[in-house]
Amino acid sequence: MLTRAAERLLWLLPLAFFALFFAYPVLNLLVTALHPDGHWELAVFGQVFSDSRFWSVLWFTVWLAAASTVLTLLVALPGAWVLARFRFWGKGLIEALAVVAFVMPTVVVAAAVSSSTERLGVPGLSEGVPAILLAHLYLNVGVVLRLVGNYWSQLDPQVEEAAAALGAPPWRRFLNVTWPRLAPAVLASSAIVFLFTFTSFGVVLILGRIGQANLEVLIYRKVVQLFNLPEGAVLAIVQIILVAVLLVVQSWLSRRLETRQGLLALPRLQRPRTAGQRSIVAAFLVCSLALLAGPIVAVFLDAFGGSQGWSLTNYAALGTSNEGTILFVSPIEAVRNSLVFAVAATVIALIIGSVVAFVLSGRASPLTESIWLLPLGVSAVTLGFGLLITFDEPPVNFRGSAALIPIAQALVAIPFVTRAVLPTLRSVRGNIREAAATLGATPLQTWRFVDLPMIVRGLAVAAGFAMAISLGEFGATVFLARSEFPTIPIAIYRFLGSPGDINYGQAMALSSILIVVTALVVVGTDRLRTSARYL
Amino acid sequence: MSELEIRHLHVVYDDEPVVKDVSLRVPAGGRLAILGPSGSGKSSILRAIAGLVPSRGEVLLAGSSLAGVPTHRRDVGLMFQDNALFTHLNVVDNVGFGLRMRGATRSRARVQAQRFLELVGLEHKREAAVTDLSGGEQQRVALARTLAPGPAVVLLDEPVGALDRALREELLVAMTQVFDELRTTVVMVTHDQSEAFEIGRDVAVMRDGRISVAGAAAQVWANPQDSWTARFLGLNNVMEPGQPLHAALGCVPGVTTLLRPSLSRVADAGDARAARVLTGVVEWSRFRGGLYRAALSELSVGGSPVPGARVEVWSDRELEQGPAIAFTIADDDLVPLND
Repeated sequence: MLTRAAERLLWLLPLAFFALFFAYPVLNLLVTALHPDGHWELAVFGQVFSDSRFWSVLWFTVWLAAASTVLTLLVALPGAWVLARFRFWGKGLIEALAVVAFVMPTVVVAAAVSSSTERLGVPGLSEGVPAILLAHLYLNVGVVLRLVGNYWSQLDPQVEEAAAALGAPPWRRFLNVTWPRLAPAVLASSAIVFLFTFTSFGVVLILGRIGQANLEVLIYRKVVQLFNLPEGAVLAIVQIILVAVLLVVQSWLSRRLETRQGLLALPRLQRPRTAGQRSIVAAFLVCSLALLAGPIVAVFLDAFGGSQGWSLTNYAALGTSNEGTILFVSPIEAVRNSLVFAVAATVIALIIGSVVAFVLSGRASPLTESIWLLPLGVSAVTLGFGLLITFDEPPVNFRGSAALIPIAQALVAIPFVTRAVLPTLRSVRGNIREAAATLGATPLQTWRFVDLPMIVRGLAVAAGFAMAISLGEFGATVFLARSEFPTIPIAIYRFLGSPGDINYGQAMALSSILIVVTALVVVGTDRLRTSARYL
Repeated sequence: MSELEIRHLHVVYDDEPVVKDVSLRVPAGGRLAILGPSGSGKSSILRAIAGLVPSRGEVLLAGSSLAGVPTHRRDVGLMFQDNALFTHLNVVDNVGFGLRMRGATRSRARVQAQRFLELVGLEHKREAAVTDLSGGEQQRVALARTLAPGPAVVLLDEPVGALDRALREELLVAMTQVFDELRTTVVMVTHDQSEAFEIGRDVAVMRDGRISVAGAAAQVWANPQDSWTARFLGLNNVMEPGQPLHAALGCVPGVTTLLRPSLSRVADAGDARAARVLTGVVEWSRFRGGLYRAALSELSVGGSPVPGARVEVWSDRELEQGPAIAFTIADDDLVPLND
């Protein structure tokens, strides 16, 4: 479609954006920290590595991510099987809830987990490692359900039946037939979950007990609370290297998933027939509703409840200014800020992300493609901090301006946009264009009635994701949102960290608003993916 | 409905000739089935007629050449092997697409499309997403979409290929009815001979980019021309010169000859000594949907044994195993072949 030269030119836009707002700030952060006063200060590496605290945090980070991944797999794999094999009432709801959970702001998830577990009354469940694991489970269960569930549904069940006919008992069928075919999908989704939980920030920051920290939280504490810039930079380097390794593993595992064959085009779903199948499906419905809807319900109960029973007190309080206390502005301002930033971030992410998708949809080497499709390898905390110290002096001075917030949020959202748009660009295969031509569509009509509507749909889905991610972004925003421009997640974090019922109530009220907005945006656009639209 | 003619068509993919000098003619309202194994170049002929691949030679529709006419102005309907449905449109809008492209308003296109949905029996799914349909339903949508704009000729690429047997039968019956009703000019390609003979009034058999035999369906069946075609049609009794049975049956010397498998049974074994009577013992017999196929061995012709020879016979009754049974060989049971 485009000449090579035009394609190269188009690359310039995303490259320039990433160079200016991603590579430059991160490098600048490292140089500023390690190269003060015109010479390299590398002794700080020795300091960090000889500190036993560093090694215990590193161990905790790895351990926590591994435990979260294993827990998520244990819970989600049976569910993936149910989704892959049966059609039943409530399935769409569970799938929608899982998508909403995946994009739910981490701060809200932390609040929801602590609220719902407190209601359960099990001691020790509402903070520390158990609470963090629950929050990670809530956030990531959808990744496994969707990825493994989709893949599993495309594996022909007849192969297992063939094994049964050859005399294999159920456990051998799973071990020798199902598992070898399913393993690539399980490994790929495990890698994604491990990556996400390895770089988890908001959840660990809020739910972790005093002294509990993973690498991301440690970077934040070093820099923000202890003002120890050099050690923060060393930690950021360690984090970047580890994440890069994980990304390589993850892209390798996902790539293996794409080169597979013998999958069904249309999954063969059946209604549960036997009593056993019905009870499995019923158990799945109950468990997944409890896991995916329970925390949300708890947030709403806390938001509307209070010491004097049901009321709108918490919501009313959002309108009043908290000047001089927690926020400089009224919480309702935070809602407005969030929406404005998220819209701006969505526009930026859509433009850059779809340019990347467009160029990739032509001829791109697998390596280029995986680099652009991967979620950002640098922690959001590092990114936010880098942006903050880089653009505070001429020639680009954003100090006192909110412009960096949507840019940071867009950076986090761009890989998701590219991921959503790329398949739709590729799905407009030559075949479909040919079909349009044989039906009498001119090339212009083909573009107008075939290409465009299909791409618009992908863009809408991408916009929903970008918007949800921007609304919930916390790690980078926490550095950039000064007191005058708090976003909803920042406000929730501040309220949660303050004592008193009314602060807690306001945190829950804000969380409920963010839940509703996120759910509307994601469910609304996700529907577009499948529902038929007219010309 | 218009006459379609192809003259000396050549298609080359990546320096590899896939269609070599093919000439065919389908009269207005006629139905041609092109039958051949996969990779024989059948689909390329359709793509060349639709103008989707560059080709040499002539394609004439209603007497005028299509050279230089872009696909969207050729007025040919092509039903793709994988359907190529528009996943962003629902059923009725898929079917109405071609009408819209010809300038119909959306509401008009939907009204017209409705007729074709009824024709393929899918009127109850008009608002469904095409991705929610079964394989058979998707193929019926593809068929309705191809027919709706009323193209001068309809090209079908393995139209029931991906379906199971029952659905295949159902759709084939539905299709022939629709084509009869609309008097559509049809070119279909398939690798399945029962489909070819069911849809095609004329059948052309293709091998390695060339037509090996073409003509009225019954004629192609009766006279498959060469041994490859005969075997491809499932006619396996090909006798080459020099084989004992070839001589015993008195075939023309030096001419490869096909013995048709549907032979008349002789009730009275006493006739077995007559010169044109073949006797043998049933080695195995299988029921193949409507008729039995059996292998006869220990053959003798006119009472004299033909050692090592074997033939296949088709019968509408099961042939009993055990004692030898006898068949008469009529003149037209022996078909000379060209190789």
